[in-house]
Amino acid sequence: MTKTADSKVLKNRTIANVYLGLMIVLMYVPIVLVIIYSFNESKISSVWAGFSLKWYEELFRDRSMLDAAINSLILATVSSFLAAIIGTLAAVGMPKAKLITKGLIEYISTLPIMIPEIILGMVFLAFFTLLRLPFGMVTLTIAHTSFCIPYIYMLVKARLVGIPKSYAEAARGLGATEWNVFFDITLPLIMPAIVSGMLLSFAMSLDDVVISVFVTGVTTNTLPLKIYTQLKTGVTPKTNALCTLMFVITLVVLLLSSWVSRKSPITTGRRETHEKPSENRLSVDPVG
Amino acid sequence: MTDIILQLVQIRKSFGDTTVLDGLDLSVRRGEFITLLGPSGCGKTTTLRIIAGLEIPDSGQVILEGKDVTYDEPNKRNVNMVFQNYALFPHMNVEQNISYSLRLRRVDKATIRKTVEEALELVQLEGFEKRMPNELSGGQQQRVAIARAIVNQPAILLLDEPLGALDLQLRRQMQMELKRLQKRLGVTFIYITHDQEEALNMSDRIAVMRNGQFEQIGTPAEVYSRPKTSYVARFVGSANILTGTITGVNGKLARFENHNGIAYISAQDAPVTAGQKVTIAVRGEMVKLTPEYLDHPERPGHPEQPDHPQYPDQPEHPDHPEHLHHPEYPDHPKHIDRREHLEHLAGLRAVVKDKTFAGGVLQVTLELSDGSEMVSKLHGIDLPFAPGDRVIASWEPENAVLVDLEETA
Ligand SMILES: Nc1ncnc2c1ncn2[C@@H]1O[C@H](COP(=O)(O)OP(=O)(O)OP(=O)(O)O)[C@@H](O)[C@H]1O
Ligand SMILES: [Mg+2]
Repeated sequence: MTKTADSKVLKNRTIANVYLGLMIVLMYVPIVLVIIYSFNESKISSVWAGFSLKWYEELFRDRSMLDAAINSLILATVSSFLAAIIGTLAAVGMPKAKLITKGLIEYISTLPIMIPEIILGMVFLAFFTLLRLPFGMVTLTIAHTSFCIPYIYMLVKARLVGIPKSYAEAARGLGATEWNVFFDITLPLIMPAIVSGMLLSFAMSLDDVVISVFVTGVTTNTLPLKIYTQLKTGVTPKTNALCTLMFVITLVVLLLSSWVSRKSPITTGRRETHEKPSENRLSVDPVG
Repeated sequence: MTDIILQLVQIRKSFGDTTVLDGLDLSVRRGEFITLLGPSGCGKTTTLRIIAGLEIPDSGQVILEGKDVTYDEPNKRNVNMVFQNYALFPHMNVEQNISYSLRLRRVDKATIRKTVEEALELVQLEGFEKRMPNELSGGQQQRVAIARAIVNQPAILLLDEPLGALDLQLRRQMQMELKRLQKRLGVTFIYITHDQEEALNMSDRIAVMRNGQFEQIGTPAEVYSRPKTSYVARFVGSANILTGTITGVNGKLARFENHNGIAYISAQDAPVTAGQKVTIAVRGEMVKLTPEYLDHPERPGHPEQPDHPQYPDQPEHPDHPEHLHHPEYPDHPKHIDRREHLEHLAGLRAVVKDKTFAGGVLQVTLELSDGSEMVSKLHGIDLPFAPGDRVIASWEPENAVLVDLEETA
């Protein structure tokens, strides 16, 4: 009995290990290679000619590349902020709304996560053309904000579910208006979700190619677009350097995001339940 | 009139198809400790939430300090609520939690510091200002929640099972502390519990609730000793409920009869007439048990035996029909006040079904001859009853209470 169970566990573990190995090889080996070759002295990617930072120097001398990088940073910052505001308001406000179509609205607003990006891009293109909006930073911002909203919305909503209704009710009883409750109770408690949603949005916006291709203007370039066009003219180690930088930025942002959400007061609040037995000590000394 | 702080008038509330509160009336006096007692789902929390303004009744009025506040926002009412899960704000420390209501009112910093200090002293948590809620034990969180609710001096404090999550020992201790606090502050407490012992210990008045209505409102003594209905009797102190017919009334005493035997009840509080069908409630601790063989005339020491010191003129076996109208029978005018007789003669026949020992009390479950069950709570360990024994269950007439009488007055 135990033997078969053991061998089953062993088998499961083997499968898990194989899966993990494949994941690492397929996903991380290329990344590591890109990072290594970004420090390559040689112009030919496949030949190692010694360590050098010259591709990074060249990268920072490239005016158009820098412009694209700045565009990308502005775009990611602005659209993640806008998405944070809209997504949070939607998540907080939706439960209070008494609409029959509430379920439908919720479904629609999370749909962009499931729709293929290429379709979203085409939709944005058609929409902006219809509105006769000049393609450029504005259209990019609108598009990026829209595809970021669902992430913020879902994260904040999940966090809201974990907040007992009694917090707000207790506050109301103590004299708080609905606004007081939002700013004093709800907002601080959902802040970790908003921040991690924003960081996620930032990362998503920073590396978006597909949607950006459709909605960017002739003269506006974002970093991923720039790299994409470079690919057609052949990969130089300069591209490797750029990819490395972007990888580092994205990584930092995502690490920050998970760090912030781990620090939230609600998750740490679970300790209460584990501490219950220690109450006995109280009956001896009420002051503790 | 002035000392009525809160009035609920014909409050009705339903959620969807279920009617939760069905024409609730309640008057609460200033400074009193009133407990809403009732089983799960009877609408206690809903009542409290309506008082707090967290719920709007479908109809009826909430009158707080003479003013109709039925539709006022929660923050416009001078009442605070203590929740069962305490609802301390997890991102604020103890001091910030307690001072929240004061900060909303923009009270100056020095006053806030002083008030928080006093409140913490009151709940015996001096020096806990900077702790976060998750660094407190359940009992300490409870105290902070209470401190937070009293600093802005509400007219009424609403407490929804505030001790529900605590263990028994701590609960006892907090019961006394809460009561002491309430006395000291003079704040009106409306308290919810479904622990009848807690209600009896702490309250000035108890409102027993059933299906969204109050079944009886009275002092703990009234509710406990003079339940108006079998529901109250059963819920508060789990009394035995018996139905039968009155077969004779004589002044203060009435004879109660059913398939299981005869019992005597006091007819002082409620007039009864012969032939009337009644329901009576008798608490387990009032039910005495006598082994049936004691009743046997052959038994040495039985009153009929000449050497019995206590019952020299004991008639023949009481349950025998022929003797019911015998002049020696206890409800005969001649004997009406001779308690010894009643006690010995009256009784319901039963068989011991089960016995359990808990907290110094032996709880004996009896099966009456008609199959219904009855409980007797006896003090002492060394009692000679074992499952299967035939016994006679009896009680003092004044310990049986007539319940479920039609309201005619
Ligand atoms: N928001 C709500 N929506 C629907 N039904 C509700 C709601 N709140 C309460 N109820 C129902 O109303 C009834 C009374 O609820 P209430 O919370 O007042 O009971 P209670 O007496 O406090 O019970 P307990 O002792 O279990 O806390 C229950 O049947 C409950 O299911
Ligand atoms: Mg309740």
